[in-house]
Amino acid sequence: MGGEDSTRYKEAERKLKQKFRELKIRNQVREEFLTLALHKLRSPLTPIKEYVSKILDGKVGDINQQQKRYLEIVKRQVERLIQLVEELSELSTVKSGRLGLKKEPIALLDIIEKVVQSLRKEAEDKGISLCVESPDSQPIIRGDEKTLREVFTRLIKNSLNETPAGRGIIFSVKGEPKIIGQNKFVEILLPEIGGGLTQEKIGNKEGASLGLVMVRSIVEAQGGKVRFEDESNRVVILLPLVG
Amino acid sequence: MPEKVLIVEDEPDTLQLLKESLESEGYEVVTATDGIEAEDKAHRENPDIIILDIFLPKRDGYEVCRRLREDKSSFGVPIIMLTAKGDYGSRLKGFLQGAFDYITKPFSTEDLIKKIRKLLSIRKK
Repeated sequence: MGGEDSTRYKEAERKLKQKFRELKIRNQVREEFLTLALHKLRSPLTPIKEYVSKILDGKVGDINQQQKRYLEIVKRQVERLIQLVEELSELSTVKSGRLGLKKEPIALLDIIEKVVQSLRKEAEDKGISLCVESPDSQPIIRGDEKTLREVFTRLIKNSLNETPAGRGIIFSVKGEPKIIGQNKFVEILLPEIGGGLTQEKIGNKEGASLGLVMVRSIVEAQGGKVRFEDESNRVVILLPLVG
Repeated sequence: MPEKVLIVEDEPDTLQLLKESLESEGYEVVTATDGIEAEDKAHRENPDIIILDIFLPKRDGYEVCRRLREDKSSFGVPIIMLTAKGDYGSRLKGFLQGAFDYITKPFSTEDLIKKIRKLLSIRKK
């Protein structure tokens, strides 16, 4: 490399490092802002929820039926807000990489089975059957067991909320690995979710459910992918196989 | 004699809610709205337990917790920190500074009262 080339190379390297530093600072500022904003959002929710509950429970005197109905709406909406703040908070933790995800070999069917078992009673109470279609061999994936359990729990709970009584929820794990580039993935077909789920809804766009954005972020942070399959009208999760 | 609780919270409505809820359970309540006042009240009032928010004016909750732990007169007083849910870092930081327990915002006063009762009963043993 000539002297001029070497100077140009060093200059480019210096600029790149500076850009990287700037981006890092910008990310830190954004994270700090979000943490503070979430804390500020959380604070007023406690007195609203608690005082409404006190009035509804009759702790400060009698209320009429109409007042009760209106306060129940306020309480429900506050609980929705709390849920949204929680989801935003979890999402920001995942996005910031602060979760410290492990990348360990995991027996996929064992996790799914554990999650299904823990939710079977809830499903039965709602008159919904839960079923896992699985291959004969156990796919071993690389990921973080705790957060993946959370992902499957959230997805099954979503389906339980959207499935009418008398119907079933089927989770399918495909035996044939999907090969993308140099990597092998196991495909998991999620239960069909009603309400016109589209590619847009699993993306990070307006109208997407925060829960689904969260699922996508966790899966991607572990080297997996989430996509929508038109033919089956189902969401597909791809998780990296070991080996 | 009723047990004394020091509540440190800068948000007036939350402070009021905590004060009313604890007083209705028979506790004597003293309050502080910033970090410096919190330390001052912790030394002057000798509370049996402290409920401490993290984001406080003048001195944050972690710093208050650390300083109270370092002081002989307040060393053994249980501290419950008010933290944000899902924020493992905050909880860990709180424990490292000497907090006994935490409760996440938005919290239920019922859960907080249970934690207070539990910590006070352990302290009496």
